[in-house]
Amino acid sequence: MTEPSEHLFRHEAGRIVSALTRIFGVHNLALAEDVVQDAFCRALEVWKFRGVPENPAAWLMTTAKNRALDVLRRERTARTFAPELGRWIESEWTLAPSVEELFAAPAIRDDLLRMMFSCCHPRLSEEAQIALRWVSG
Amino acid sequence: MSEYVFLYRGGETGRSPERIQQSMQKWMAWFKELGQNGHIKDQGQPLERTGKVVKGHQKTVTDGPFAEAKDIVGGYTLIEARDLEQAVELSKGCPILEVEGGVEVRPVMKLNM
Repeated sequence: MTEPSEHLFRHEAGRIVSALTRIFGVHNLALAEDVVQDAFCRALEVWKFRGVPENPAAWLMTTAKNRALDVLRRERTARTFAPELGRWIESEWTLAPSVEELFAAPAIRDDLLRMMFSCCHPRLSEEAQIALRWVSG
Repeated sequence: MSEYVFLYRGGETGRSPERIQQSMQKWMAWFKELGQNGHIKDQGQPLERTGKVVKGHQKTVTDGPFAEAKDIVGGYTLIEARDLEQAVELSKGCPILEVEGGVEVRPVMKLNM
């Protein structure tokens, strides 16, 4: 059984929250964090019995992505998500591919940078800025 | 040697990445030690917290179990130990005890009794 690297969860939290914020919108930061925490708790439950998978970071990312899709399907009429995702989330045909694309590696690098800029946005409360800084590492 | 089932009930790890990381490392260390000392017959499986409950002659199907979170079984392990006393001693190392969870230690019935 392999051991996960020492900072696996902290590193991945930043990357995944960035991707999720891109999809949900910065105003849904708390929702993004919930999704990440759910995915992490699930990883903990499964891994402690079956061992850490070969690529734990990819496992976490996929789990978070599936949870995000659940959330988008369930709440697409009740909540407003990121404007740039726009109408892509309205149809099953475009929902999954759009989310897939936003979770791809180059998109996530951009997202981390975007999060750093978001931290400085003057409209954010100080509390939210601190939270964002935390997820951006 | 006799067999015992550990049923893990409840236990809230806390949800920050750091806490999850710590918890993961503790569980792995605990299982590793049990395994090295030859106490693990089957490391077991995690269980989803919800499912269905089927009851009675009517075979009524309901969502469930609706127990309190602290009472829900989240997984099990099949353990080998000399006697119940040793099995209980082994269960005391379980990281779930540090997060308000519990381990139920149940002897597996023997066929030749």
